[in-house]
Amino acid sequence: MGEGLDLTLLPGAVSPLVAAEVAGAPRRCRVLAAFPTCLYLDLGAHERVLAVLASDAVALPIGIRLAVPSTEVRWGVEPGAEVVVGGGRVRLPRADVVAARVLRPGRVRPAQRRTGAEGVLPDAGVLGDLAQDLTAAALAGRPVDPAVRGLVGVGRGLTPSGDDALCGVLLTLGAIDLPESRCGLSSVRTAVLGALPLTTSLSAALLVAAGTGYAVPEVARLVTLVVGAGSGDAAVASGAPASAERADLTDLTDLTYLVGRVLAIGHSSGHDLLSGVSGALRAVDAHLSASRTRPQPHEGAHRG
Amino acid sequence: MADHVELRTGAYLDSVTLMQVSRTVAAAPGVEAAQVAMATELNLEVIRGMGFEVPASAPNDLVVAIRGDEGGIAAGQAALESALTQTRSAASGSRDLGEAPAARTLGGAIRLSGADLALVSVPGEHAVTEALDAVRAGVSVMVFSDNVSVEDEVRLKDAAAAADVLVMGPDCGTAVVAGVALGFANVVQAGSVGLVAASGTGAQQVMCLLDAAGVGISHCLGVGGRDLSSAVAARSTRQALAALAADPETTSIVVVSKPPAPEVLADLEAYAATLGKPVHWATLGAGRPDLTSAVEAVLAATGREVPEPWPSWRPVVLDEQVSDPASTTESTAAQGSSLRGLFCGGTLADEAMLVAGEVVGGIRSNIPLRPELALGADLRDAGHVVIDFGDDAMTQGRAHPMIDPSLRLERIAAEAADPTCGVLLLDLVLGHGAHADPAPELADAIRSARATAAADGRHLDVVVSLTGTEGDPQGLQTSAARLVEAGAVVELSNAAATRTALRLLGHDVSAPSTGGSAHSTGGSAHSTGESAHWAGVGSQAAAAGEPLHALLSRDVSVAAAGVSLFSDALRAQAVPVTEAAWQPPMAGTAADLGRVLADSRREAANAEALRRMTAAGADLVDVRPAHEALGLERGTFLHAGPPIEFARASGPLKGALIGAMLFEGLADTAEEAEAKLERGDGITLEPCHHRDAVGPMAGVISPSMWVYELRDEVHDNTSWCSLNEGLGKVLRYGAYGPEVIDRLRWMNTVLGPILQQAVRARVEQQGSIDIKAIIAQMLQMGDEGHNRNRAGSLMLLRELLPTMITADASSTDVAEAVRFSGANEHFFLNLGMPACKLSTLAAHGIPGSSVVTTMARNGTDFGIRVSGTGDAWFTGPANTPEGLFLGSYGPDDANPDIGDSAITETAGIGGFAMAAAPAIVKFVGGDVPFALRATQTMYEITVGEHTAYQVPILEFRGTPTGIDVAAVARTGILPQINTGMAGRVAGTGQVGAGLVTPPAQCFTQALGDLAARSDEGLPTPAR
Repeated sequence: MGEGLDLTLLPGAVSPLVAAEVAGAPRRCRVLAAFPTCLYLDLGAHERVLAVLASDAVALPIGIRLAVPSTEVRWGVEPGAEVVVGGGRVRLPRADVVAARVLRPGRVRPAQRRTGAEGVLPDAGVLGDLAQDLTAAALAGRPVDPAVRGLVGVGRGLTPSGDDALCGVLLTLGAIDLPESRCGLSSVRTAVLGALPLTTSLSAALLVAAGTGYAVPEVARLVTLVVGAGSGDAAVASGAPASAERADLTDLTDLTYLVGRVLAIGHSSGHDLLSGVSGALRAVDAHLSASRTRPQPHEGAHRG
Repeated sequence: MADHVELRTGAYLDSVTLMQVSRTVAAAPGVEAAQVAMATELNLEVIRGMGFEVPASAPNDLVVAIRGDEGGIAAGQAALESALTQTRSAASGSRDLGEAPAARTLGGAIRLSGADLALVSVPGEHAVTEALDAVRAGVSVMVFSDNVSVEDEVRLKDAAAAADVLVMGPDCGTAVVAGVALGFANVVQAGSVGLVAASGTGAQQVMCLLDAAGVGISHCLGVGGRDLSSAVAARSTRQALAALAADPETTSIVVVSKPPAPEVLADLEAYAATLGKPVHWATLGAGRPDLTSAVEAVLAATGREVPEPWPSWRPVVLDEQVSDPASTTESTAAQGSSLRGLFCGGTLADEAMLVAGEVVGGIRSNIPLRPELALGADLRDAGHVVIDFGDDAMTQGRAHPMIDPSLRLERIAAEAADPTCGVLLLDLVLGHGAHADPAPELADAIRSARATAAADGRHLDVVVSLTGTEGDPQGLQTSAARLVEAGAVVELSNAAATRTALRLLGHDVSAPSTGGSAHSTGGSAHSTGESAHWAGVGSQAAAAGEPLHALLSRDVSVAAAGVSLFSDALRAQAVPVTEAAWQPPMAGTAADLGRVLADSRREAANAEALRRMTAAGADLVDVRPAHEALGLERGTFLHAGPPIEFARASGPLKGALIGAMLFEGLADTAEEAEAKLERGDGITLEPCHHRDAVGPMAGVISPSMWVYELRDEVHDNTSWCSLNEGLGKVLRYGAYGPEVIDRLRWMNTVLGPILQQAVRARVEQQGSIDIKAIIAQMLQMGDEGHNRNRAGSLMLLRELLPTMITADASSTDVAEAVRFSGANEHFFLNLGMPACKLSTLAAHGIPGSSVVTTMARNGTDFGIRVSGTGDAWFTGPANTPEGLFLGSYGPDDANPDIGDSAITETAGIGGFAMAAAPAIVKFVGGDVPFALRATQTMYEITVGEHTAYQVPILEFRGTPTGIDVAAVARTGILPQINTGMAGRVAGTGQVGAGLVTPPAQCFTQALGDLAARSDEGLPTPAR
């Protein structure tokens, strides 16, 4: 850091998802994990985690984010240590992180499903199949508990692969402007909330955020674009080759760039999340296609 | 007591920083007066006005003027150094080996950081250049700078609309984007009201009133004070409205403006009705509601309660020193009858004039509501006066009064002594960007003003319109308390403050009826029948989903050029900021730069120039005598650099020409040769470049000399260069002794023919030798291709050896030819140069291109030619290189820069590839970090990167290629050239090697020519 800057006060932009705890009465919080770019702090409840993020960290929606990169900060704490959070700041041994403003975390925006852009997503694999089954059940109003429990906490990592895929499903359902997806999102969210003890605190916190559409900005933007930036009509196009339904070129360039950014998240988190998105979209498109080809004109005729 | 005045060149700092530095220096013990400022006309006037004598200077020089006793001057200088060091380290931070230097332009800062919002606060004449950078990078930009012409504003905003980015400004003081306060902005609650503001302080007033009523803000998009004028026709306002209409956080919109052009407002209202969200209008004007009424209407429409009354603070004890504003009781002391409004906020001044004008009639001002009310140059009048100290005319060459209040404080003191002044009406605006704690200083001024009046037997009331929120860094209550202590009445509402002032003058004032008079448009009702144009804009924005590249829904990071105060304010809000190390362009180039950068052909033309430069081939196809290859006739001598007559030639060029005369048998002695050359009979001197050839150092090519012939098959061009003579006493360094001439003869009779056979045989057997491929490889082997050619020379020899040793010549001659070639580390230079010439030749002659295609020196003049300016040379006196010297030679022995070898830098290698050749510093001077920095700095002035020539240590980044005249003028960065140094005296030879730059005037002249040829003013093609 340059001289002349106050080394003991680090301004931070705080996410509204954790702003209340940062602003609230000071209390001791355990350090769950410490990485060069970020710190994870236990806010008390299992699924309440505060991430202290350097500017080069993945911008998790549950964080207080600094404007300086990790090369210019040293947290000075180890996992298991306790730090004080509250009164508008996080007190670290070397410096106080001060909540200088509330930031706008990335959030998916509901849009009409337009096919064609999902071709940019990587191969989804087994996680994609699981995500597809879950989404299909959710859209059809069938029970989702078994499928959710098949994913929560499954796999390796601080955010297990199953959770990442589940985030992809939650975000996709939140990004589609359709009554069935709103109902489906609600049932998956309820099932997830019941299963949170099965996974890590950090992952649980991110699942809760994804349930309300919040995610890393690149993820939120990518999901929004993949859902709605294509040019095809999902109800008609199901099964048609993707190349016939391409999104326009600038969007695709943007998308390819975003996919690269998302794949760079974690060891496999970005990939797993996109597998979830990919599988969920397959289910959404099948659902839309079926509801179109199925009885519509027929029904109409009967009702006269 | 003594005066210390010094000038520092190349030390640009912004005016706000210098104001702080000046204060620090002036506060040092023993200093009586001090001023540190850039040497602009205005600043020089101020400094001379302080009694300092300032030597001749240019506007980009820094003037340091300190007055004090001996110790005081020393203390002042120490304070200066420490203050300057602090500003530099705060801006630059620590830099690691090989880390790119800070970008000089906003475009560079955006590229480095990937910022999604830009902030420009450089002096007005340069602001458009920086802002266009942002627009071209697809980034919305806030232009704080004022003094931007309306034509430039329109041009900038049209470009922005085409790129779907927003220009907030010029002269935009305030914006809040997704909770981030830019420029002067108050800390307000987040909420659902979106503002579009053609007025900075007006927007601040509206936000603070809303905040006081418990209503939060989603965004406040500034659009610049002139956006609602006829000329600008709401270009930015339309975009801002569309963006807010598409923003899910925003549920209602308020447009804040100084008096708008009626037809623009009418169009805009029609457009607003199509947005599907209610739009309220806080647009000042005669007969229109004041800002407070407009806010009350917004509150009523959103079902919020209107605070009754708006917050105000009054002195607790109303003694005879303070009138009771609630009554109109006359106090015993005499009181003037005129209102004197001294404002920092232009819109607040406008509003005060509108409100007061209804009661007391016309008010004279520097920003009059009607032209006949304009104040004279002295800004004095015995009647009612309102002055805006933030007006363009008052801020030229100084900081805005919200940062530097000194002008207004002086005027407050002057009013206190004026018996016609009855009430002082002042504004004070808090928030980010403003003075850190302005209330105490203003309170002191108020206190002493009242005391001055009292001592004079008069009574002076003071009313302050305080725009701020409790969240502001200065604190609303604290600030109000300080002012009240000084005897002022303080109001949050500017309109209310004005009415209070009128009451204190004894006027009968009634508050306006609220609610009904303010109006709004839009809402959920669908309106039809709008003009197709407006409707078109709206639907376009809607189709894109997230206008302005989703600016409003992301957490922004900022790139900034100009006043570092604003960057600091952003950092305090945890916003990542990348600052450009901005400097003014080369003196006198602002107007030409504007025209060249506006040339619609330039971007594509430069891209084409780069494409051709990097695509050009360079194959060695033959070696033959110059008379054969170039058609050189006896008596014609080619030389390096731009054209020159013998009389003006430097020592080394003269020496080389004398040598060539001897070699050609045109003279028997050096004296005879010189005499003939001086008379010029039968002798023709011509630049190598005029024949598409190049020559190192003196570059003399005579008809009998042998030359390499290189072909660019892609563009069907051919270039030639002489054979290298080795190092030491050689013709190209101006030596012409017998050993030099003997060597040339041997090269003609032995070396040339052997190389010819070798090359021809090689071409026959395997095809031509790809020189470009060797350059690409040598850069990865520690060469830079100008002053270090070791690897290149060995690779070339490897290519030639098989056919050299089988040439039809005696084995002794072959052995000597091989030994001579192998012993010469610069064997390759004479092939690298024509390869570079082919590259730049391909890029020459593209209309509109500002890429340099020739840099060459003849030892007297440095000349450049530019792609878009035809065959014209732009010349200036050649500089003398600085570097390391051979043996006992020193700086006095060195001749000014000479040779065509700067063609290597022109094509993206040599000094531009220094990072690839760190060992070069042992030869030319400097250190390894310098070598890395040199290459990285050159990216600032080049149009792109070479596709084949790469620098391993920079992650195989392409070398900086295609010098852009406009970028050179803009950044003041001159091309870095590595070069050999010739002895000053004819016949000496090489004395060293070093680093040199071209004279700046080559580039400023070329820029002038480009400006004269620019297509600016022609209708731009429809997008």
